[in-house]
Amino acid sequence: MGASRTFIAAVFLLLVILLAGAFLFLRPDVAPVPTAPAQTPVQTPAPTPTPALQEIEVLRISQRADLSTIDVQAAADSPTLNVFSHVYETLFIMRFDAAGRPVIENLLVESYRQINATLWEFRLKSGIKFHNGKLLTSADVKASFERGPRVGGMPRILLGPVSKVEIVDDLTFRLHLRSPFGPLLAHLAHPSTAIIPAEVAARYPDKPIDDVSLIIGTGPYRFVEFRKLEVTVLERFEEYHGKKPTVKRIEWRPVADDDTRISYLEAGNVEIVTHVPPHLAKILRDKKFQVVQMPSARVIYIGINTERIPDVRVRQALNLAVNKEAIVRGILEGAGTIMTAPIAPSVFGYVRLDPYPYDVERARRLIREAGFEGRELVMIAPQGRYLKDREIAEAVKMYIEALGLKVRLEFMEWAAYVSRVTTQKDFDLYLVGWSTATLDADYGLYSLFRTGASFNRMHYSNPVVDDLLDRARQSADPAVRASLYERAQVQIWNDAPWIFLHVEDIIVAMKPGIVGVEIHPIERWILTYAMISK
Amino acid sequence: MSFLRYVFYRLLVAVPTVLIIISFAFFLAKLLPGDPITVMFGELQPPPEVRKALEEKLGLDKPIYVQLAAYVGRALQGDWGKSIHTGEPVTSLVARRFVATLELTLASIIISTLVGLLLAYISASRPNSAIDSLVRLISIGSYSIPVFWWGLMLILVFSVNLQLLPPGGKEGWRSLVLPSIALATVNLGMIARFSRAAMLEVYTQDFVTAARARGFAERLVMIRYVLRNALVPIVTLVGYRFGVLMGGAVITETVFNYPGMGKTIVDSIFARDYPVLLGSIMVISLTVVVVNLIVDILYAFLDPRVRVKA
Repeated sequence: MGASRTFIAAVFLLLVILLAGAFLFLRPDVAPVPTAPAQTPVQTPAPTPTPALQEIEVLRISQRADLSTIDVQAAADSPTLNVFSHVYETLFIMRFDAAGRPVIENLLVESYRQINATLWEFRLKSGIKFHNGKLLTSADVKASFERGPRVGGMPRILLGPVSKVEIVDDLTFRLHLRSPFGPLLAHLAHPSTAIIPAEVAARYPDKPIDDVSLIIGTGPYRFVEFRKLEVTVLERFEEYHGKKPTVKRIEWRPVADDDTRISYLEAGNVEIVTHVPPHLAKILRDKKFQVVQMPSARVIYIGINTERIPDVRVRQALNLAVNKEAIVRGILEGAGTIMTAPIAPSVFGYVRLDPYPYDVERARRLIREAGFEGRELVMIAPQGRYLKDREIAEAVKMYIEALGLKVRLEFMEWAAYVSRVTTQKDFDLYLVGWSTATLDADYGLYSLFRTGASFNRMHYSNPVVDDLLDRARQSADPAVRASLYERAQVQIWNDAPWIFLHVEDIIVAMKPGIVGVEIHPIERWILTYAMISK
Repeated sequence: MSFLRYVFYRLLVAVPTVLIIISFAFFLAKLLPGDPITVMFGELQPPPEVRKALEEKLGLDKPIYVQLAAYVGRALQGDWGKSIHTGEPVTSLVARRFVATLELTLASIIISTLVGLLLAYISASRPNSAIDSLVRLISIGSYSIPVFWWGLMLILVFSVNLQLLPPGGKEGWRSLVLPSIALATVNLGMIARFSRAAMLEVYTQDFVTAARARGFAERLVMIRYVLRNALVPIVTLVGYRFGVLMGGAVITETVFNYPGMGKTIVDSIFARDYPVLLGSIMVISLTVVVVNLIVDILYAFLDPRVRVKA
């Protein structure tokens, strides 16, 4: 038995060493990851093919999630809209200038004019074909705009200001607005206002499309195949009206697990991976993959139910109590920046404000003055929806409890969570994110801070803010709008209906040699004009 | 009762079983807060009139038992509905997932049973020897390994470093290798431990001693007398593991991005995609019933005493 004991001990030791070795081998670098060097918000497309660059036959990309729906008008999440941005087109398109500022250009529209404050006239480009060969006409625009708000939350917000679509002739139509609306063109550049064929809209007037053969747009790619959780295939539309795409076939291969997604890139199964977790970004950089890291337009915040916490001193105290920098550095490993306004810096109308400092003493004093000591707060948070949401919620709870308050933190899966946030009022604090999808302050402020607005679950109401937001909608002058938004943001900042946390970073990694992938702050990646160096 | 009547009777009992299971699944899913419309609209929930119209279109406005009865009625006629979110017919979706899961399950069960029996044979031949202890160590180690870690290790070595096999997905047999090894690892330890115990129990019985006394070679005794008589409990375990695996292996499927039943069910719960959920559960419960039936038939095949009783 003596010999066998020694033998077993030796084998056991060997196993332990092997396991430990493998563990160290896999362990990410634990040193704090430095924040990415300042990058221009967008990778500009390669201007012209050069002898050193060539077209791509098949480009494979892994996002974190699969298509959540096959109806572009019902889609609200960026993974789905990214796929459809290659299939469908909007009247206008958002591009970016050299400084990374959004510029709105015509896409399906040839020309337009504003007839009066609430009436706009548009003329479509002629000869634009849908993938089924049919020509684009005003009737398609009318059908799309009338159907959208009945099936999707995004079109409901984006087309809300439009009261009527009037067809003038085959290519000319007019939009009648309920009231003057400044950011109209930004809304018409968002993929949720994409134009679908009138006959598809007629077949599904008020329920989501459930037939993949009806995914028909005017975009550079035809929708070829969809196998849920496996692959979505797009192929170049040879009769596309715009510049000829340089990628023939795009395969979207969703991979939910972060580590597996990265190994898809490393093993050469795909050329691009998105939603790279911060701790793996450094490893990929060391292995000479291209890693793009830049601020998104998504803010992460803790909404404060102002009906249950009406005292502004308490809300300010909550902001002072949370160490946002520690959250960004420690939990996000640098993959974010702390909020300096209720909207992200990439959004039109943003104005830089001074963040609430981390000042526990002042926070305690305010809580004392408000007579709020020892109170228990109910906080709810989703899990797995936003980058490190669970860890962030736990950190915030810890910071608030340091003030002598109690926090009862409940985690919920997304559907139950959304249902509770949007229908109940039985909580004090809730964690969510909001991406300003149009990159215009109206989208980032109106639905969130206007009294009674759809996602104002803080039940925040300030007549001054309401007035500023209403007036900013009605003006078409960017300078006037910017100054109104500045005042609104200062007021919101001081009223503190949120605990202002941070702006998430976008991290995308690519095989070396790929150029021309457009990456927008709204988590949009456009692959149409990507090329590869020889 | 003749054999065929017995099979028919067992399959008949499956009908109420499956009905009860899907009713439970449906009521539990309905108990969860949130519905497909909540998921569809996310942060931008629709006003009541839009919600109501959609509920009507999707048939979500009727009382739960009416919805369930309507579903069962249609399902019996072969119409399993469409995914609420992607419109894909549930039959083709579930059929694809079922085949994928069956492939993975078969591959991993074959590997784990062969390796497990081999280990048990080695162990039981020399009980309490050094080699027995080593096998015990390997077995306990294999079912103690967290499968997500083990899966990632396999990917790291065979996909990322050696670039021999794909890290995930489902394209041909090559993408089946790593996930089936990962799943087999967990099962083979269990099968090895269990089979060793079963074999040792038979080992000391009189007929084995008698066989040995007649001068049969030890290997022959082990295989023909010990292993064969130990098979009944082993088949029970393997059959049980088979049924469990057919229900999907969520973690393995997630790590290897494998489109199997497990992920389909979990995703359909998160998305409140009732038709997909019910279709998957119906197929799985039927499979378990059939697997149990096959195991029972195998008993009779392996053990004449069962046949006599039947």
